[in-house]
Amino acid sequence: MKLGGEYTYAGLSASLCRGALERPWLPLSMWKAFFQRSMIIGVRAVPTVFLMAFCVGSVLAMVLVEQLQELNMEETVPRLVWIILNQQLAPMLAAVVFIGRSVSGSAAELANMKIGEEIKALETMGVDVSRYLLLPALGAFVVMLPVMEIYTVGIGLLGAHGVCSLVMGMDANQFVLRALVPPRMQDAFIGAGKSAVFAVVAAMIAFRKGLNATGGSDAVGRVATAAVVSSLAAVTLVNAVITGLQNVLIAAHLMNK
Amino acid sequence: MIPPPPAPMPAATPLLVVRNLVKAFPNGTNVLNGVSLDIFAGDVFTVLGGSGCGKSTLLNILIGVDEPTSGTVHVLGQNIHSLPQRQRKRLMRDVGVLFQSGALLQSLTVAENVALPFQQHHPKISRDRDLLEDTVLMKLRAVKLDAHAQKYPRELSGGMKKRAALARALALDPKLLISDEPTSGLDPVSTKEIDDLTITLSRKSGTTVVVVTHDLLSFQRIATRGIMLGAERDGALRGTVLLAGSREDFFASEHPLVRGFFHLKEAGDVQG
Repeated sequence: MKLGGEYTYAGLSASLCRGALERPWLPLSMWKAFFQRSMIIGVRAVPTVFLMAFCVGSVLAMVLVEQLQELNMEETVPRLVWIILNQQLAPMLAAVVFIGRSVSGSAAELANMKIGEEIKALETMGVDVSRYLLLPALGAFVVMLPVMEIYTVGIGLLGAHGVCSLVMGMDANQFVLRALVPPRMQDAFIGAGKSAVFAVVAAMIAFRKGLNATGGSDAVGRVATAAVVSSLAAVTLVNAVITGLQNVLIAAHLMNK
Repeated sequence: MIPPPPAPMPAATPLLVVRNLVKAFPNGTNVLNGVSLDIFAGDVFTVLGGSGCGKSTLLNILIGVDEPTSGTVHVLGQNIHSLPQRQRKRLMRDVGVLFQSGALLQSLTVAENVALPFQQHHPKISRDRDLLEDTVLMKLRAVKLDAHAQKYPRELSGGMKKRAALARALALDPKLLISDEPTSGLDPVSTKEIDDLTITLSRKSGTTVVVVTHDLLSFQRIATRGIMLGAERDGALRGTVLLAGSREDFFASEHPLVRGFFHLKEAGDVQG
């Protein structure tokens, strides 16, 4: 990447890959940054994710119970909740919380550093900004968003079980059996995999917007807003593309059978 | 006690050579217009000028974070703008930069900020924690900040931030220190402290200094030579070198814009 030049997606991706591959052993200071950021992204988001996931799981179960009772298929609610949460709702819900908290924060922090000449100072000291600043953040994003997603699924299922228990008198054993037998662990992998992809997409947007900030302190707010809006749009688009590809692959697989 | 300036080196090779530097903005305005200068070892070279004269643009070009429209910049014998990234980074080991805002990393302590250049360029020192700590403390002691090593930049005053930034800029004993308005926003006592430290530390380590400023008191105190650039209000002369010479040449100059700048500034200082 050219010193002082504009940061592009291609340039950022290349320098992040180079930074990670050239010297895979990260110094202690970078691990410290990784763990600090992981705490902020994952642990401090727990109350928000709990509230949102519990409500979404409950509402999803309520809608499904109401619709499926007419068809006498309400026993399939746990299974459907498991599939919908894992494949669609949990990755998107976790991504929304993550974008609102961490992507906006990262973009604002980088914009502040750019305007305060900290990025310029790092560049002139010969510090690889991508490796030193971005790599620990990207690592924390890619690890913690899937963790948040898995947590969202768990809490969502808890909410759905509450509704099934109240409306249908379904106990926890029955709920788990109906949700997971026969096991469909591919749903969990799809959800976690999607989250990792979302983390990369949102991180790259936050990094690029933040590092290209210009102007005064007003730019920080502008950059944070732009990063949130762009990340939400990009994640929604990527989710649609992944779901489309997934359906095409399933259709092809069924045709081959 | 400030050490005496080194003896002039008439036949020396300049450390920094700028030739016919032009920087045009996208709207067609030339903010730098054919700037040429030579900076020799031991110089405390000052770039003077009013608002909009292109001082900061010149500094950005000198440190390689901005590209000139035309012209060349040779730092320590190498054309900084045609060097591959890796070589440019290696060259920047010998160039310390003190930014106007200090540009200390807010998430790091003062000691961690000063340790950063060592971690980047001296893996041997940075791997030995005790050695690194001792080296950093020594650097901080030189700017009288050793007692504040574990503080974060937000806990420091403006003058202390500048001193910490100076310690970081001089951490690797660079051959060249480029300093952007080092005394802006500081009270007269802190200004004098920064000026004295710049001179003392640079002379101790043999660092050549380039200072971009519009502070005449600092100029009087530290400059050996300098240039003055035409400001925005000077119309066609904007971004051109109005005068290049020694400190004495500036005070003796008959150039109306140089005289105007000096007298206006002096009048302003008296009124202020």
